[in-house]
Amino acid sequence: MKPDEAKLILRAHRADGRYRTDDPLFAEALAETARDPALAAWFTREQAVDAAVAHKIDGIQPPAGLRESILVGARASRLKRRGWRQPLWLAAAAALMLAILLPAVLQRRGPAPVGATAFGEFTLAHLATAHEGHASSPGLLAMAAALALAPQPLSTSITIDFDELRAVGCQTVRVFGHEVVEICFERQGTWYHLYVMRRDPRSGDRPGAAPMLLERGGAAAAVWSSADSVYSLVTDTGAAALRSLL
Amino acid sequence: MSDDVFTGLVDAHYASLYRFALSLTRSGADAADLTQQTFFIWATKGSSLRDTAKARTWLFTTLYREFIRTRRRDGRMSSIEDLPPGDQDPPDLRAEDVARLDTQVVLEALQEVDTAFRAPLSLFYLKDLSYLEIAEVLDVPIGTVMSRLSRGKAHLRAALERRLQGARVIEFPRTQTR
Repeated sequence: MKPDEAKLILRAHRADGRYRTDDPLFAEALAETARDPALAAWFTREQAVDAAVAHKIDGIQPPAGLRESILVGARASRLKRRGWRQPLWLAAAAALMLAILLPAVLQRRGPAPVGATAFGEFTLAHLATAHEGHASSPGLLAMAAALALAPQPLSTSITIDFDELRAVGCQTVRVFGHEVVEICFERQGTWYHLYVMRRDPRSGDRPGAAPMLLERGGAAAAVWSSADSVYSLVTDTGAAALRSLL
Repeated sequence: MSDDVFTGLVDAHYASLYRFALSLTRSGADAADLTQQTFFIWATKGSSLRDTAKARTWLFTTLYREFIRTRRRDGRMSSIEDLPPGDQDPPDLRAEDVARLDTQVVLEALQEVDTAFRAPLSLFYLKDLSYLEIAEVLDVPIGTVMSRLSRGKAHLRAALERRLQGARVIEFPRTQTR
């Protein structure tokens, strides 16, 4: 084997265990280094430079949040396969979230007010992509049981507020800087998810006792507010299931 | 596929996939998108792959194909025949000189290498895949991988050498003071 031929093969060789030295392709070229000291010296330098470059590339860190973004995206795709999520509305919801989030980030004046529609869109997107399952502490179970039995219409009978729900250990998520608590409850075989956020007086929205209904694919959210809290009741079993409670 | 298995797969490969994507796209945002898109495709199609040992190769292959598809759509593909040949005798760099360079500088030099050579070169340096797997990911014969690695290394070293030349300090003449 000529030195140039050996060099071509050895440039593709990595001494990291993945390239077996008994691979016939490399074995002959490696054997050549034992016979040719100049080739052996070249190969040593070559591997040292390769190791230095590889070390630098190994130092590149993925952006913060990429891992979480991948995991949430995959969850969303699995829900999509279950057949109730429409990608268009999720994209619209994401765009809406960005539209609300960006001014807050750019101005850095604290969380931007979240309107009823944006809150409803967020809760639909959260249930579709990031919902972690039902919690089961005694306090939560008692609260869920109370919700399961609350008289209709729920928009007037639910009086629990943000602080009460947080006190029993409800799942907490952040929406554009605002803390939101969420509790799941089952009512007549259907699962509902109640998201509650403190009402922001800057939002300009008046407390609306009449629920506003949002439908996205097979999922639906009803949003209403009291003097202190904004509520979004969400289900992935359709708007009819919500209407029957409101 | 369970959430735990999927999370394990993401944890094991997302950083390497991002590095590969970054070397291809030359943009952090595009690389993040491409990495996310790769796992999205896995979540919708790849999880049916029976042999999970093949997942690594599958992910790199998918990422590369998505990159090529995007490039074709944007009309930014160049033919391998159009590319300049690699120097037969690339600059004889020293490992210590490379080690002195910032990671970003090395990355920029790598990104300067044309895509046809950059893809196998990045996979080579990422050390996730064997040369047989690199050939599989890029869908080229093994001999082509070797030749592209050789030419790619020549291009990379020339790019690194230019940066080292630029980085060398020129000392000002010292004046004696009393």
